[in-house]
Amino acid sequence: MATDTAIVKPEAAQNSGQLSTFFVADLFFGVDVLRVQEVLRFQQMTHVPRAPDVIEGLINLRGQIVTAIDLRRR
Amino acid sequence: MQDQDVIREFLVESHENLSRLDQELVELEKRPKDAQLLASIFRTIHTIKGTCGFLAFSTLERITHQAESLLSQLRDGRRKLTPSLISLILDTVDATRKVLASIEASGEEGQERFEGIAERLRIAAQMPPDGESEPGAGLTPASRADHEVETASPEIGEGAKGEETGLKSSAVADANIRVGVGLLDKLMDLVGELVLTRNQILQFNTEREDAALNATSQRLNLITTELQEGVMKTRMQPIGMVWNKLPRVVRDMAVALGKQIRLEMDGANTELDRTIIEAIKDPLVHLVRNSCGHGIERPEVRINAGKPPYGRLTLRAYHEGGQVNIEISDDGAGVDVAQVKQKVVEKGLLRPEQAEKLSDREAVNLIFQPGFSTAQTVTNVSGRGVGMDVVKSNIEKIGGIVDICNRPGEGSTVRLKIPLTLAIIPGLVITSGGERFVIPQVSLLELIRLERDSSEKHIEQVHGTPVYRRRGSLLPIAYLNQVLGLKLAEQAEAISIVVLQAEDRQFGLVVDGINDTQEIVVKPLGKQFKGLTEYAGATIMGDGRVALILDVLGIGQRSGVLAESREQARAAAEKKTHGGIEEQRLLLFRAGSFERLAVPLSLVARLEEIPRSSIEFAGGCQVVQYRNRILPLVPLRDVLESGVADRDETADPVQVIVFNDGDRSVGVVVDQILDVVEESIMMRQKSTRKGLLGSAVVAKRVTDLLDLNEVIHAANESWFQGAGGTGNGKAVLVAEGSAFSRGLVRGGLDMAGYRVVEAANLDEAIREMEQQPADVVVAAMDLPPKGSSALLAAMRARPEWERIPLLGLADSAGQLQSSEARTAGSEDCQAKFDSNAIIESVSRLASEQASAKTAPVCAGEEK
Repeated sequence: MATDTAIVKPEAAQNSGQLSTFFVADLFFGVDVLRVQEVLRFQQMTHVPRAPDVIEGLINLRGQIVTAIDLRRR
Repeated sequence: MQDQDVIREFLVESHENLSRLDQELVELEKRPKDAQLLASIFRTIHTIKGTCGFLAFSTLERITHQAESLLSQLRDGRRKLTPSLISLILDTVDATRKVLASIEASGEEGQERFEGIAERLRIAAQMPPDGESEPGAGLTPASRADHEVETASPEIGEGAKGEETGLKSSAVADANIRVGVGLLDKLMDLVGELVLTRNQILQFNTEREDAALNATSQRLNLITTELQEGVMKTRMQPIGMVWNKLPRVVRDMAVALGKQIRLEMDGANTELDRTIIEAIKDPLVHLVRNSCGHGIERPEVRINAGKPPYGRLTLRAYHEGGQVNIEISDDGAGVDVAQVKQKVVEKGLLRPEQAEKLSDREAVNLIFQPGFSTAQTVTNVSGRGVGMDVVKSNIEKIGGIVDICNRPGEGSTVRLKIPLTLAIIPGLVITSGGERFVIPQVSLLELIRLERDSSEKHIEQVHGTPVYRRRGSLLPIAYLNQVLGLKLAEQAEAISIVVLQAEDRQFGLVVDGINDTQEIVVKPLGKQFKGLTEYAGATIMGDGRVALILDVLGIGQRSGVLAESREQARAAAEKKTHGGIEEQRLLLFRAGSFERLAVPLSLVARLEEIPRSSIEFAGGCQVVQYRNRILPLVPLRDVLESGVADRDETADPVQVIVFNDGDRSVGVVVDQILDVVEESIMMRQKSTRKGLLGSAVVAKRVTDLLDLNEVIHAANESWFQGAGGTGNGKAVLVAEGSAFSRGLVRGGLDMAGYRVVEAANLDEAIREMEQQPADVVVAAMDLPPKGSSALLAAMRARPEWERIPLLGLADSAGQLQSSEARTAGSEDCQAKFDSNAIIESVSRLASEQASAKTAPVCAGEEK
């Protein structure tokens, strides 16, 4: 997953808010920065056999189990 | 024990209430008009009064009652609040405290009666509530003093003691604090994290040799374990918490049903995790209601049976091997096995002969089937047909086991085995396909290691399912790699089987490797995994990576080892011992003087009831309009007993078995559909009678097997028009182990004009071929002893048979689809009961073979 994080300010002043933006393949996406907990580098994942395709695996985030989703397949 | 617990709780609660009263009363003095505050005070006093009455503390009850009536006047605005009244109430609070102290010290209220307080409260309450005069007039400090003087001696006498015990009383109050469940859960989560970190450190430690680290990690290990136990205990609650409401339930039930029931409880102090307490609450109530409703008889019935008129219902709870056992037993009638069997048949849960075969123990466990209820009448207390199955599924959801022990005439005992906690469980770590998985140890029975060469001997195939012969019984085997779609491991020198218990069934799971056992912290999977029944959750392993926890039941169902019913498993085992006799589902029916006729269910498309009035005649045949088409009807009795005059034309509607074949259908009219059975058929006697293949013993009775092709043919020539007459006397060898299927295949081929030779096994087939080579060989894939491939190999080995095409017969369309059947080396492959396709195939192969004789391009080499 190509993750490139940069914070940009949209021009529209009244709807202004901060977005965390990233690329998936060649597409440029943004998500409300307040909904982003943190950005991680790739780490080893546990594959879940028989799980839906979009699920890349499970990662251990400081004792919490977090599901990793491959946005490309989504 | 029970009483003291109750009193203890009462004390703790009352102390809390009294402290609050102190505050609230002081507050009330400042804001005398605050109705809410007043109401709250009233409620508190009322609560204490109520509990005192319940526990028979008469002095306390009297004092608090007086205080309550005074307060109720205040609350209703009939009296104005004055400081002296407040003081009076505060004095009451103090007096209450003293009594509580005495109760805590001695378990009794003590000698002091607190007449003074009671009297003052009574006087205050009876004072004329006129707002103008000083309401507390009778309670001026002077008069108060008078009263106090009157009662001084007992109060002082008690005072010294009170102070002493007062200290202790605060000991109880201080020794208990109320902690929010949320905080405890948070603590438990944190301990879970700590356990994981501990595991990581321990693993780290084993990798390096550092004495200091070693010692520290040992210590960490110990402390963590103790902390884990400690925190776990904070969430423990005595099971008495749930049992408390049972006496009431039992009493109400007994009154409603006109029974006499004594409830005895033993081991109410047994502690369980509160999540589990929550989970077993409803099942327990269900079970108790059940015992009252179904188990214990009415007094007159009991007396007749020589029992005391009152029934005894006993609850027992005790710890055993890291689990909690809860027993609910009654000395009632027990479960009536015959009635249970009759009921399951009535409800259509089992067929009569299935029910008959069940052992008493199995039959009793049937009460846990969904939709089962033996109550004769549906009442509001029992008999709604839900309950026991819910009990079972709820208990199993938390990893528990339900078992019922029945003593006919003497009662029954339901035993629940429940884990102490759900959050941290021991698990077995295994690897498969390069991934690690954890299997909860609760469902683990044993581990088996088989050397590669012996594994082939020990793992057999029954019904297409691999089984392992374990101590004389067959254990179905599932391969974890297959279930989860993982890559297969390269041939190891040994295979490991983990024997698991899923509900009441056992199965073996073949894994690539078994690592070790570990305490794991169960974490739920996200909602993205909702549909995945294979996993019970996930956990974090010692190295920090996530491992999935397998759901044993889900794995079993997914792999199909649990899908087949117990019945089938047993039948499969029987089949094996009988030595490979084919097993089939048969439809039994009756027609004319033939009491029992059978036809393979796989041939039957539908069973229909057709009103006689809708039968029409077309081209001299009986037909009926069926799904927008014309369905020809074949009255079976006419075929079998042609010439019998007295036909019974009165049956209405008529029973019709519809057979489908491609786009054609035909209905066979029979007198009565009897049953469907699953049996291995052994043809006992060949029949010379038209329309019958022969006789066999089915479900313990002699049954005639219908020759469907002939029956249909006899009645309706056009049915086989497409396939008929192509044989031209060519020789076909039908090699098939089952006489029944052989007969079916033969029937079709016979009619199509082929000369058919039959063979029951490989040797017979070769013998027949030696006598006279066939033009086409039709061989069942499962031809005894080793399948059709052996016959094919034998044929290909001889130059004179090399060119003879072989048509493989698969058991079912499903097997036909599988590539295995396709690549078995035969020229073509058809399903056993697809008569038309077989004939078509044979005719094609026969003609190809004929042309191959002239031109050496042979069908066999096309692949």
